[in-house]
Amino acid sequence: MSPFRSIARTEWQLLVRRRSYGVLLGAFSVVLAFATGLGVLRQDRELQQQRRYQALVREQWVGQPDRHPHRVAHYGTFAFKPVGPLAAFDPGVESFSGRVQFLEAHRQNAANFAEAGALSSAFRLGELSPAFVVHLLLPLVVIVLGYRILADDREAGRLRLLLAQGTPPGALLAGKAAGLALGLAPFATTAAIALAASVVLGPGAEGAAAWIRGGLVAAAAGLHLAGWLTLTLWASARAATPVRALGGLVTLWAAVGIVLPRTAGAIAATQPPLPGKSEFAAQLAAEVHRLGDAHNPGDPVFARLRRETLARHGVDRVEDLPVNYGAIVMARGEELTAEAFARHFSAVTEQMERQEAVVHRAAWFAPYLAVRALSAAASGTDLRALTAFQRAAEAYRFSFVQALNALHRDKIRFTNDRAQRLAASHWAAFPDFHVRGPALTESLAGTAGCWAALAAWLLAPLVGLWRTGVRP
Amino acid sequence: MRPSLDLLCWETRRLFRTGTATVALGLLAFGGLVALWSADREIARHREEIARLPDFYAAQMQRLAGQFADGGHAGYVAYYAFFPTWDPPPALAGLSVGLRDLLPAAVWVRLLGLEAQLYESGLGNPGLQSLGPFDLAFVVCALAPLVLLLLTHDLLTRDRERGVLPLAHVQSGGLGRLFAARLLVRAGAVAAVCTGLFVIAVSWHRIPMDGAALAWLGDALLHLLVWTAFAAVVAAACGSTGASLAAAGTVWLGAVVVLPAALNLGLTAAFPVPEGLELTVRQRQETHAGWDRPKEETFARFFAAYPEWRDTPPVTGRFAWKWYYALQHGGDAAVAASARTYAANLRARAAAAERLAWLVPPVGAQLLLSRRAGTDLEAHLEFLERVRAFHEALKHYFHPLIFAEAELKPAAWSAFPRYQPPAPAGSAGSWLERLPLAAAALGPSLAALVLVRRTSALPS
Repeated sequence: MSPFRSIARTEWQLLVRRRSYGVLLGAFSVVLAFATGLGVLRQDRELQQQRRYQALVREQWVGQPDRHPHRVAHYGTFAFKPVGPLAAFDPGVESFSGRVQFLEAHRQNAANFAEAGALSSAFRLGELSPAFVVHLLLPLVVIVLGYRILADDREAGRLRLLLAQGTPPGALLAGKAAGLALGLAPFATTAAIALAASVVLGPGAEGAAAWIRGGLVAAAAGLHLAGWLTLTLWASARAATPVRALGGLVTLWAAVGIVLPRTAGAIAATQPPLPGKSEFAAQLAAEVHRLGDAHNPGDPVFARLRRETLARHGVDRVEDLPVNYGAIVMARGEELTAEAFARHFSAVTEQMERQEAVVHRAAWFAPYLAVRALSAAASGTDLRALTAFQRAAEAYRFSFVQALNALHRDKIRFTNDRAQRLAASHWAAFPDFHVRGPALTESLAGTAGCWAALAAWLLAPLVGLWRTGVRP
Repeated sequence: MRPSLDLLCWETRRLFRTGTATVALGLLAFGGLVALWSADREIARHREEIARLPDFYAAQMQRLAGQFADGGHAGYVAYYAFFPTWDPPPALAGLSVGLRDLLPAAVWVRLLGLEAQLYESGLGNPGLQSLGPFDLAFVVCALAPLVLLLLTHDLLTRDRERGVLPLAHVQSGGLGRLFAARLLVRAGAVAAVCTGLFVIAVSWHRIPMDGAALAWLGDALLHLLVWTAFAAVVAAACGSTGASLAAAGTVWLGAVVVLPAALNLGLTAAFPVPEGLELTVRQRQETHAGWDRPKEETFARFFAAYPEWRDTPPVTGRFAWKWYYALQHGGDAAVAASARTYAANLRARAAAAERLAWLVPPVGAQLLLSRRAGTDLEAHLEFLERVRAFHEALKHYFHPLIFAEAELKPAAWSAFPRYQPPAPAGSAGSWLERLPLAAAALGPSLAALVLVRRTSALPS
């Protein structure tokens, strides 16, 4: 048997025979199963509730009696945020955004009922999702299983003996790494099962794309864990005693897993800070007013609209138009509002993305941030998926309001406008709100930096091992 | 087991001779300063937003003055006029951000149905919110215990491994005394750093040193006391540095990372709050159905709540503002029960968290600290109650005008109601609230006592 194979095998046997090994594997599996089970349950409940209300809202929409179209535009409808494809595994930002948005004429309402705002403050310590267990806790398992792998041998003088007997240092290192990896395999398998369970049972996952997304999560997690494995090996190869290796690794874990992410978040929040909600609303209102004021008879935008509309139909008075002029004004106003909103909303989302970029840069110092970002992106539960939903909801709002304005224009006479009603049969022709999450390519755009950061965290300890080699 | 002053001085000097303690405590202090800065930025954002509310309101009213230059029906003006209500951050919010970074600092309401206006999320970056706030409460609840455990886990094991424990035993006049001295010095150092950070925060954020502030510090130190007891058990129970380090890591990981997260997940699953969606959807349906119903029905419901308008002339035309607002009231009235259930369910969930908190001291401490600071869920629910009261005040102001079919010119608008928040206050709370946390310290303290006595009986 080659030295590599015998070392790997011995190391693996030593590892799995430890009493703590079974305890650790058991505890890890229980925690992960608990997190996955409740994750699936929660998302499933969320989806059921959404489906029920979406159906109800649709039924209410179609079941409206004869109504004035502008009445219907104010009646409005609701958009429900879809459950991300792998939300059961990695809920990402889902708990932190509103779940339902009321869509009506003239106004872009913010989403309501964010889950996180309704929890006690104790929960700010963390959310136990399968992703949290795999990305944050599993590296600790790697550390605990691996910190003694070379340091023990050195302390006992076995390392000197092994090297003196002519064991190639490369084979020794590779063998130890392989032994540790074999010992970790059951943990990785458990994690993979949890991931697969989320793909199969998770309510948001559909079709082959979900498996590809799952594969990407697995790739990111694998790369991340490989980084911690080599780091542990390197620390064990360098540290004077096993306890020092453990102390150093655990401190590093706490720093890059707990302290740095929050620090990065705190710094990112000031780069630059988002406007307050009141400020956003005030700026938007001022801009809408500046673009055109339908209530002001002297407003240039609406004066031109009036001139052009009259000229197009060759009449002198709006009362003589073959179409309802009130609806034309309303449609133009809606256009201006939507335009202003789109601009301000884009500015805010861009600002959020800039803040997010600060966090992604911090991922070079904290691989947890990199794997976290990749996992949420691949799971379709990141900030981008959320803004995609918000944009889709606004687009849908604009289209149904404008369709109602068109009905108003063509089917409602100008004189005695508000007293008229449109037949109820019109409402069923409106399409229901339907949004697809971002495509895989969209989810992954801009994540190259995070992949590179993970790769760097794998390469750095490898280079370290290469340079220091095995000190006897 | 009372250690002498000499022993304490000696142990203090010995602690700082090693680099580990200096580095660990230095990092704790640095983390604390970052936390103070970060929480201060977040709260400053709220203060700035609130400070600008009068300007935003004035700008809105100026725009409306252009629209209603010749005056307008009170109901028509009220349709467009939004009024700011706000929840000023309490003085201690810079120490425990609590839920403030998730919830809006200001809610704008108008005379229309209130339930559709109450529950909007604040404007925040969910990507950053999911990382969790970095405030002094987090430092006290999560980081300080870690530093404490790192400093104390090898109180005895290190000397034992070096074979100098019997010597130390003899020189210090008893192992119990030595153990107590070492533990006291280390816990004291961590507590001193936390207290120092608190003092810096108080002078930096100009926090008044009232009962709530002292109670906050008291709770923070009580939490550290619990961890001192945990640390004593770890240090006394383990035979080797490897074992004590592993035990310390497990205890910290369990109490600070895994159990709180598991508790949160369990509570979310056990206390679902479906009323949110139900409430929104029903309110809209009720309000709008009123357009297709006889007006008497709508008014009957309205008069039940506001009988003073019972004898006003009926609406005969297609539209009247008083009917429109009666309709809006109908929407709110239809979901009043759901709104109460929603708040009650949130409170039940919070109460369950509190009942379980003594099992997980960091959760108990987080809850206490955010309550002291007035940044917990209860504080927000109380704010929403005040918004309700203000909405009621709006009705009392506008209803007489609307029922009188009054025309309002911009000059009269300065008399519109303004929201007056109560002075923000933290809560010093009662001693009773601290009992669970204090109880959490009791068990491990006794265990440590027994363990140390057993160890000192058999000096190895």
